This record gives sequence, structure tokens and C-alpha cells, in this order.
Amino acid sequence: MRAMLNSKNQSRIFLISGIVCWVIFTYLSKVTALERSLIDEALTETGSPLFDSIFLSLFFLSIFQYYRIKTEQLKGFNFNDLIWQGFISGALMFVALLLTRQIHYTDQAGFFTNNVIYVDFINNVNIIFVIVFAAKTFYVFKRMILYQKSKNLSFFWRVFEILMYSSLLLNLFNVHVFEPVIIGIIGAYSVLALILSLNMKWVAYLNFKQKWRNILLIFLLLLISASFIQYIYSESAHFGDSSNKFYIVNDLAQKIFVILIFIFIIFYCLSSILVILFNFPTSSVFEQKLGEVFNFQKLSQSIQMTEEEDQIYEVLLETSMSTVLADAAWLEIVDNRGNYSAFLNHDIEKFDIFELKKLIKKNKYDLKSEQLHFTDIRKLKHSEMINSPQTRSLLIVPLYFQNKYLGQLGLIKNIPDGFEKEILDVISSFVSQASVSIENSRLMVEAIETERYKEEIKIAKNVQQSLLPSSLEYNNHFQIGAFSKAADEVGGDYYDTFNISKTKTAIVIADVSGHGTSAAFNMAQLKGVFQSLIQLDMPLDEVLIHANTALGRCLEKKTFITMTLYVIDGEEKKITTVRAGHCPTLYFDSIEKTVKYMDHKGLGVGILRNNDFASHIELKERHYNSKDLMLLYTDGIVEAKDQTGEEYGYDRLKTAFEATLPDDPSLIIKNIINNLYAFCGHQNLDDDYTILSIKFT
Amino acid sequence: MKITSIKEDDLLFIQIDGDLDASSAILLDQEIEAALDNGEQKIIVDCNALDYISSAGLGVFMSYLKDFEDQQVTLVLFGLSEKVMNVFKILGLDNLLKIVESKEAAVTVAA
Repeated sequence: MRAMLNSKNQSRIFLISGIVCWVIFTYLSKVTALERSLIDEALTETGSPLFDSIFLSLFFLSIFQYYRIKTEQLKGFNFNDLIWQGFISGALMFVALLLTRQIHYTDQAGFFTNNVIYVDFINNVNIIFVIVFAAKTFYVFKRMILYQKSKNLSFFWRVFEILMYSSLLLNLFNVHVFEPVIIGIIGAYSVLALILSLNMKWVAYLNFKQKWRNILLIFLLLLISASFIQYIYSESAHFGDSSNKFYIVNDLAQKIFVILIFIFIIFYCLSSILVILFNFPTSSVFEQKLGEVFNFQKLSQSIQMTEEEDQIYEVLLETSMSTVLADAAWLEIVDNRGNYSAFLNHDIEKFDIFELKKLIKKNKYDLKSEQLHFTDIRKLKHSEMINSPQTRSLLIVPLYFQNKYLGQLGLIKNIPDGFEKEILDVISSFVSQASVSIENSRLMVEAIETERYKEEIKIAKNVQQSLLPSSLEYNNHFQIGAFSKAADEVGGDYYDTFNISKTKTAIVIADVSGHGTSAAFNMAQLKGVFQSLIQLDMPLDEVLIHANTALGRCLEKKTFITMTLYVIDGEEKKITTVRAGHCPTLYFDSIEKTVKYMDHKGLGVGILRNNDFASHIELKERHYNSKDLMLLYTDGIVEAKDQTGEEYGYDRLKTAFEATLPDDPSLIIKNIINNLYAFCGHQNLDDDYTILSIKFT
Repeated sequence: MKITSIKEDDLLFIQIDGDLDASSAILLDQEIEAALDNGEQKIIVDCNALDYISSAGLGVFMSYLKDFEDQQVTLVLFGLSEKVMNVFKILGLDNLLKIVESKEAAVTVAA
């Protein structure tokens, strides 16, 4: 930003200094012209006096510097705009010059033309036009020469520019142009200008139309330059004409700097015109190459923008067709199982494509293994079976990504031997690029699917978590503690409590077979069934039978639920229970001081989905003592394995339970879980596990 | 996990080798389904090499209970380890399936 401001300010300074210098030397030359017109022998004293020359040279320098900065500021230019700009400013200056000349010619009476001050002034005005044109054109050409510059070229140009500016010094002395030294300098400079004029890299980037346009513009520039030169020398001739009473002070024809600039401009114009002319025949090839580059760019862009697969196919087919100038083409893409996932055909019927492929197979070619190139399909055996007359040369390229076959691209031309060798290379690299993008877009789709699945699991987990009670019911008859952890994101373990009356509380522990989302949904149904049946205060075996009927209708064929139901009656100090295939409860009898598994008949819910279920379950009732303890759990606890694959088992659970007695429920759970983790050696169990402990008071 | 089926006269022996978990249960399921499609009437499952059965494995046996009854297919299991047998017992499946100790007993039950 700062640098830009500086260069902007710099250009302003140069413009102002240019104007100031012009005013000064115009004034000085007016004085000189007047003096000379009064003294007759002034004719012998030609050229500008020293001060005049200094300001004239400073004017040249300022204007050139101004345009140097202006042209450098142009960012992201293209040659067409640049040449157009150069032409426009040249034309404007030329028109301005013509206008002042017109006044000169129409002034037959010599009112102005006989006025020495006027003639000198007009000459100085015209100097502006010449210099502005020269400066602008010079720097436009500099940009063009230095396009794709090398280090050497930059250096060469700098030398050239310095030499050119140093010629301003010669202006200070009124040297004669035809002195041998000067001719030598001009000659050397011309050689440099000629060498620089050979830098024409930009021409290669023009297309056919642009070449015509620019050849015209440069030709016009050449004409304008010639006109300026003609003007300069006509003025000079005027100046040297002794019959003419009036003469101008500042003769551009005597300024080496101006001569050098115009030599360069003429050289560059001529060489541009010639080079463009010679480049006409190759422009179509270049355009095609450029087109290929753009197609590649388009293809890689479509990868980066992660477009749909379909769009990549379109891009691939269209760009391949335009690259080889194919008359017809098709693209087929298969999925992982080898089924068509896309089939695109351009200017050829699907039927004809299959006929074509049949023919190729009949000739014992493998369509999938490698690139197939048929210079003339008519020369194949059985080619009479093809009735599409447009098909002569055929190119079939298989699409592969890391040995995985993705599909094939077929290109058809209606002339024999239509595909050049270079084109085959281009197409194969093009196809491999496309294969990468197809695979990428597939991976992207997969990643999105996985992400969506993860999101669904997250939702299911939230649902499942909300199904477990946030707090457990308890009263002054018992204390309760619980711990539950899901192995996957979503588990199938469930526990709940329900206050049937002030003194009666129901407790359930259950395990839905399977994990994941479906287990969570089954759990939701289970919760609904439990909550609605338990409040009816039925005997527990009836609750279980109803639950089996209700859940049997909605569970999948291979899914079942194990559960144990309890009702604790605090008033009668009695527990009733049914076991539906669930792990047996551990019971601590505080009077007998014994720990036992409560083993009684039972069958998992959903295993028998008919009336037979009732005969497989058993309602049990027992009295409890104060300080008795129960441990309820799911099979994730007893089936937890250590590193060697041994299960935690019922015995270890019983021992761990005994060891922690007679703690409070929460402490018992903590100790047992710690014991379990110590056994497994880690905390990531394969199954969901839940543990509940109840202590009677 | 490996499942091998051997046909001996009218008996189909299915041998389960290894753990019967969620992924291998699918194989057993396919095996039993194929047997039913073939019209097998007597299926004997050799569990001598069965180390572990998960609820998914139990689900497979459970899901064919009704089919066995309807198509009068006899399915007999033998050679269950104590641990595996306990799993069947706790769930209550031992009352619904024919489980015997030895191959000879299984053949007798099937016949």
C-alpha cells in the first residue's frame, strides 16, 4: 500500500516537474527566438542555448519517468489492452499534432506563421505530443519485451535504458547528428534495439483473431511514428532553410535522444508485425494446446469444488471430446459391484455403442485392461455388423484408480486414423486425472454418509440416555444405587424404579439383546410397556406375561429381552420377583450371613411369543430382613473378559460382593466396579454393563 | 469361528467352532436357513468346540423355534460346555431346545 502511494506520488512529481520544465524552456526559447529574429547573423548560431537544452532534457526525463511509473503500475494487464492503450495515446497525440499543423496551413495570410513567437510556441507545444507519444510507446514496448523475462534480459534492458537516458547529456552540447562519433553511437544503439526487438514471447499467447487485431494496431502505430518523424524533419528542414526568416529554437531532429527512441519504436513495430505474420500458421495449434491446459484446469477445479460425480463425468466427456475433436463419445462408469452407475453418450446411440463393444470383444480385445486404439474400425473382422457410418477411428480408454476399474471412455472420429499420437498421451493423462477426481468424490460421499451415521448414533445415544432414570425412587424401607455404561455409543441395558404406593416400590433391570440404534428403540418400547403395566399393581407374573405379549409383537425375530422385576413391600417386609431369563440376583441374608444367587425358573421376553410363555415363568416371594442386600446386574458384568479371554464370571462377582459387605449400595457398586476393572486390566468392556444395589433398612 | 455341515444319512450335523458372537451368528443363521430350505428334518448341532455364545447367537436358535415346530424339524444340541450351558439355562432356552450331553444321545433323540 505504502509502495503504491509512493509510486503514485512519484508519478505526480514527475508530471509537475515535466510541466514546470516545459514552461521554463518555452519561455527561454521565446526569448532566444526573439533575440535571434532581431539579429540577422543569428542564423549561424543554430541549436538551443545551454539553459534551454537543460530544461528541455529535464522535460524529456520527467515525461519518460512519468510513463515508466504509470506503465509499471498496470497490474494484471494483457497484451491486447496494452497495445490498445499505446495505440490510443499515439492516435490522440497524432490528432493533436494534426490540429496545430492545420492552423499553420490554413493561415494563408501568415498572420500567425510570420509571428516568430507564435511559431516557436507551437513548436514547443508539438514537442509535448511527440514526447508523450514516444514515452508511452517506449514503455508499452518495454512491458511486452520483458514478458517472461530472464535475468539476462532484464539486465540487458537496464543497460539499454541507461544508455538511452545518458544520450540526454549529448543534448546539452549542440552536437551535430552527422558527426562520425554520433553516427557510431546511433549505430551501436540500433544494434541493441534490434536485439531487444527479437523478444516477442507475447505473440505466442495471441489467438488468431487477436493476432489480426494487433497486427493492425501496430501497423497504425508504425504509421503514426513515421508521421511524427516526418513532422520532426519537416520542421528541421524549415529550420535550416535560410530563406525562411523564422526558425525554431528547439529542433527535435538534432536531439540524439529523440532519434534513438524513434529508432527503437520503428524497430519494434516492424519486428512485431513480422513475427505475428510468421506466427499466423501456428496459432491454431497453440490455441488447441492452451485449450487443453484450460480443460485440465477445469477438471482439477471440479475436484477441488467437490462437485457431484455426475458433473465430473460431464466435464470429462465434454473436455475429452473437444480436446481430440471427436465426432462422438461415450463414458460409462461402474460402481464397486460392476454395475453401471453412469452412462453418458454424445452423438451416438447406446445401441450402437454396445454393438461396437460386441465387435471389439469378438476380435478378442480386452476392453478393461488397457487403452485400445483402432485406426480404422472397418478393418476389423466382422465390421459389417456395425451400421453407424460415422465410426472410423476409435479410442477406448479404461479408467483406473489404484488397480480398481472405474469405467471406460470411448472416443470416435469419422475419419480413419483420426487420433494423433500426442493426443493419445494427452487423453490418457487426462483420464487418469479424472479417475482421481471420481474416486475423490466417491470418498467424499462416503465420508458424508459416515458423518451422517455418526450423527444418528449421537441422537440415539441421547434418546437412550434419556430413557434411563435421572434419579431412582427410594423410601425409608430401602436404599438404592446404580451404575450403567454402554459399550457402543448406544447400549441396550435398562433399569428403572416406580412407586406403586407409599410402601410398595417396583424395580426393573433389563437387557435388550443387540446394540446400537435398534437396541435403543427396543428399550424405549420396553420403558413404555413397563411404566404402563407396573402402575396397574398386578401380580408380577401377569405383568411379565402382558409385557411378553406386547413386546413380542414389536421385537425383531432374533431379538429378545431379559429382565428381572421386583416389588418391595416395605410394610410387610416382603419382596416379590419374576425373572425373565435375566442373570440371577445376588442376595445377602444379614441374619444367616450368607450370599446366594436367587435361582428360579424364567424365560426371556420375546423368545416364546404365545401363551406358552406363562408356563415358563415363576413368581417368587420372600421375606427380607433389615440390612439384607441385593445385587442386580446385567450379563456385561459376568461376561467381561481379561486379556487372556477368561470371563469375570459368577464366582468372582460373588466374592467381590462378599468382600465389600456390609457397605452402603453406592460403595458396594464402586468396589465391585473397581474389582471388575482390575480383573479386566482396562475399563473398555465389550458389552454394556449395569449394576444395581439395594439395601433394606 | 468356523461352521461345518456334514450330512450323515438323514441327519445334518452342524459343527460350530469358536465364538458365536454378533458377526458369526449371521453364518449360523444362514446355515440353519439353508438346512430348512433343503427340507432337513433332523439337525444336530455339535457344540463341543463352541467357546462362547452371545445374545445374538442365542437369538439365532430362538428365532427358529417356531419354524422347527411348524415344520416338525428336530434340532438337538450336544457337547455344550458348562459355561455355554449356563447361558442357555439362565435365559430359559434349555427348556425349549433339546440339549443332550453326547453325540450318541443326540442321534437317539433325533431319531
